[in-house]
Amino acid sequence: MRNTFIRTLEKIAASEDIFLLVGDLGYSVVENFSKNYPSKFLNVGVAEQNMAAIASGIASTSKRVFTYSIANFPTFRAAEQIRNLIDYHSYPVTTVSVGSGLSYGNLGYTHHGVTDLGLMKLFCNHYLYTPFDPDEVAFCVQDITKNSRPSYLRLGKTNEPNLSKQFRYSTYGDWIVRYLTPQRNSRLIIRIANDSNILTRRVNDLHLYDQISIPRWSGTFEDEIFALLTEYEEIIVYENHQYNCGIYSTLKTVYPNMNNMRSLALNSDCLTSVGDEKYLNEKFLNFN
Amino acid sequence: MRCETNTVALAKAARETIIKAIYASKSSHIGSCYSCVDILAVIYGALLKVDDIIKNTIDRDYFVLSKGHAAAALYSILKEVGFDINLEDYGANGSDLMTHASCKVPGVELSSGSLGLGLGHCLGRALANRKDGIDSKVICLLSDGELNEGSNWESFMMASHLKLSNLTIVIDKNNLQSLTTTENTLNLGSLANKFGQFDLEVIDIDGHDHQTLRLAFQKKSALTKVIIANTIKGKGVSFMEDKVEWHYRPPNQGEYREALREIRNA
Repeated sequence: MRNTFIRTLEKIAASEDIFLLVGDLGYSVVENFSKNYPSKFLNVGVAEQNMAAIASGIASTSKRVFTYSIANFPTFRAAEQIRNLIDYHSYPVTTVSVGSGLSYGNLGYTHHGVTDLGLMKLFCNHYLYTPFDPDEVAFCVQDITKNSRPSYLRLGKTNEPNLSKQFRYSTYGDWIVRYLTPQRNSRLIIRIANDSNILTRRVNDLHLYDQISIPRWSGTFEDEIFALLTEYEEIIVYENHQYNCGIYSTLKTVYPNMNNMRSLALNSDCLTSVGDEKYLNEKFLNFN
Repeated sequence: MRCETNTVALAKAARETIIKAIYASKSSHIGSCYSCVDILAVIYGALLKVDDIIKNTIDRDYFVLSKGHAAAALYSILKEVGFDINLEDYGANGSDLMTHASCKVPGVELSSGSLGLGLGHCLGRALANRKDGIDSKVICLLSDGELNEGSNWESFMMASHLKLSNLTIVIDKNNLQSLTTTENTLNLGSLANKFGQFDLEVIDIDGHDHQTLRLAFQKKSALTKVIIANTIKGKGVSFMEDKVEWHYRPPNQGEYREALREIRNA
């Protein structure tokens, strides 16, 4: 996903007034961008608070700025800069976090992006972009540059596969839904996680479920979202994130009586085991 | 009122406006306002192109009050130089005039109040201006107590690294912070030595001397300039000067009248 992100951004940089800041990360990812667009690139060093603050200052001149780092570093470390400088002033800054969920596997808990949405959804002017495959990453980056809102872009780290040939996107206010399968069943899976093995193992009769992804959302809801969900008898929300502060909890907060909705996600315990992403997903992604 | 005005008169008028606003709203931080109001008077009265700020041009000069708790001082100066601000609404119910600097107020570029955020923002502004070939000033005013925040030091390092000569940092060094002196809280030692080690252009001056302030701002340098403005918290009202309590408490009626008398007779 991160390679699709940077390739898409490079194409956009050829014609748009954008800027990329990195927090001394992005080895083997950002080199071409920095070489081809040196006037639109800065490595701020290991200083994520400063990166967010600098981004707000650059964005005050109407440029679209992207800040790039791993998992929790550009988000939690810089939370107040994002809240006060970026979100409150509604500057066009996109905080990009690579390593969603358990992508960074055996690097451990500090590098796991499992609570980031719980933080970023608090920022009322932000769009949240949660692409689940590389095709959606390209779509999201294009969409980001078409609007002036601050935003958060959550990326996987590895070479996640594209999982659907369906490209029907529907916009419901702040929300964009992608229909990954034809709509013909009474059961629905909402997914922002890429790992299909988990779905295969955890969900019986998977072929009887429609699937959608949510490449863009926010804390503002539209009636059409509720109407879409009420078409289904059963809903599973599948996310590589803690269940109690991600997209499931967001939907559950707004629609508390939707008792046919279940969460397939990480529980709220801090992970202590070591392992690669596949191993950790198998062990920790469960129904809650 | 526009640039090249009498900055001493500007500061005097602002001191009166500040105490009226703080007395009426029963709010805090009058001492912090009075330590930096001379600096603000010089910045807006003699340095920045205020007409461009009013027009909100993209190449305008840019000022951020990182010590946002001195908002009453900023609003008062902005009102004096021509912005449409009614200080009678300061801190009032339903007003835009928050008692920490608010971007909803005409002329205020950035909301502040949480310390340690303004400098990084200004650094980004100065960097973007330089890349775009915009020759305008970017000035950030911090307090010395604010330097406790580690985020500032990330910004100092980067300002030095980038040699942003279009950025001027002013430290309102009044030696007091929330509970006691800066020395007893988190001893900063020699700021001049510290900033010098960062390869910043350091100018150490009296922060209430308008002529000295003006010369410091006008000094050319290829480096980012840091003006250490030595000030007195509560400056201009004898019983408030250098007293930590005036970080918090508003004056009572008797103190208000006495302070007004002192300000008008100065």
